[in-house]
Amino acid sequence: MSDPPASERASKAAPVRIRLDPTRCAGHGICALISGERIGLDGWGFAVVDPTEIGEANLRRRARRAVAACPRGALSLEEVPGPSRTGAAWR
Amino acid sequence: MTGNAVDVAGAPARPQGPSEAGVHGAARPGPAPGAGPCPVGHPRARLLAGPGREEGAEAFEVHLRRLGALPDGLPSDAAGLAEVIEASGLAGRGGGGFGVARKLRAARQAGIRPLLIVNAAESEPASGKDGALCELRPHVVLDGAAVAAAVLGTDEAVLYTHRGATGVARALREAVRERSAAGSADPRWLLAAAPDRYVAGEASAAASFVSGGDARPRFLTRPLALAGVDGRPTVVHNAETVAHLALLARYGAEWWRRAGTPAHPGSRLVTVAGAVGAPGTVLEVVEPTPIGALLSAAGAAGPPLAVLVGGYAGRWLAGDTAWLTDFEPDALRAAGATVGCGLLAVLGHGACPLTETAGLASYLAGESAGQCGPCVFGLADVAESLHELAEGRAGRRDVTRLRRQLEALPGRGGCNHPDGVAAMVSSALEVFADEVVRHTRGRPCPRPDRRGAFPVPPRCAEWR
Repeated sequence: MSDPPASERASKAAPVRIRLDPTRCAGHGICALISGERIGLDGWGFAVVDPTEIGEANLRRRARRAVAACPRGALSLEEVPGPSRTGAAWR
Repeated sequence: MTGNAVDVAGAPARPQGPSEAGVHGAARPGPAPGAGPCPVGHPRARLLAGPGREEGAEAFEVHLRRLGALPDGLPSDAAGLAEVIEASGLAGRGGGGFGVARKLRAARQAGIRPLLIVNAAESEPASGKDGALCELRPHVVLDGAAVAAAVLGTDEAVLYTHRGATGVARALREAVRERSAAGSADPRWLLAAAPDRYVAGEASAAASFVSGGDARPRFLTRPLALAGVDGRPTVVHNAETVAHLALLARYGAEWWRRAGTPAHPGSRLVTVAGAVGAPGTVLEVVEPTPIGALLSAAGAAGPPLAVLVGGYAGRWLAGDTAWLTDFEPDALRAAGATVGCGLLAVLGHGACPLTETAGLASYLAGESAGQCGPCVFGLADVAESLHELAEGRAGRRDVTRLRRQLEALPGRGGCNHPDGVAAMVSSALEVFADEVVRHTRGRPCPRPDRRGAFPVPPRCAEWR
């Protein structure tokens, strides 16, 4: 019994999470319409991202679309584990 | 390559001497106990030991007579020095408090050609400790930078200052010239003078400026120690932080740890500003000392109305509380504050704390790098709400709205600027809760002196 190759494991079910680059977000808000479960808008209209991991396929699909729809390229999906805001901890 | 960093002087290449044991004890400064607040030149001071303030920058030869040369074979004994730094437990003194050994190790292991940035851009308007250190003890800072560069395995160090801080840049430049003339085995020194913006002192902003960009913080997906200036592993250390390395390399970790507390070892510098007899006083805290003793050393007669601790984006403490709290990370945390950049800004009894907080919030909102929506719009809203409150034009509902605005800010920027401002304002609403109630009831502010007590510099329009 051997593990599948790393590439295959990752493509199957590696959980992801949404990462937002706040310096790029301009508050278009399209992401929140598409992936309302994981992305909301604050009182000023800017995206607020739930950084917890996404395993479920439908949520994942919508998250992926939200990422693709951002006119500013502010969103990305990253595989977990991997720090979501590494920069905040040490610079 | 390093776009905004220019050569200071053509320092000679470091001679590759034979490896020697790293830590030699020259004449060690006296033991710590009973030190109290140490001003410049105090015999029990560590970083600030030596000539008094009136004597100005300590010349290289005076510095060498006082402390002895750095241990021989510095570059080849990088591993030994790294162990000393590790054993010391030295944490950054710029505000973040990150472990120095860990940052250096990460960058050293990350790949070729790391870069050291010595952050002497003291962006806190009322803080003066890094400036005093660079202007009075430039060779302690440069020695420490040479140690950090050796541990990193790099032969380049950038001295990062604010453009307006001409005294700091002049002192460092002159010190570099002296060392070069003396043939000191140093890294190549580069000087970068950034615009006088509050957030320009943030590490990623420094790296951005040094690589030729704006002195604005960057949203990092990887730490600078792994990928910084031009993709090179970059370590940004505060000037005081590297200065400690000059002492650590000479006297070792055991001696160095006798200052401070076991959990937070080493001495630390403090600036006392605001309503004291001698605002701008820089002191070295060698052992846990109540804030009251530090304020007294700067000419305070007794507990003030309040103290803003750690910087303009720090935390307010009531004067009575602050007076008795030790200036030490754990004691400050227990009281609801952080050491931050070591600033103690004192608010006198004649001032209105809400007016002061509103003024600071306006200043800090104006110092946003303008990159992130929550920072741009959020801080402006917070400042406006605070002014309404301070002027008696806000009701309870408005205060609730202000609290909601504050809750929406942490973690929402590319850097921690909005987090810091939100924390400072939140601490004001807590510490000055009685004042908030009084002001929302439309009663006249009992403190007639409504002028801002803390210095706020004019806005710099440039980012490059």
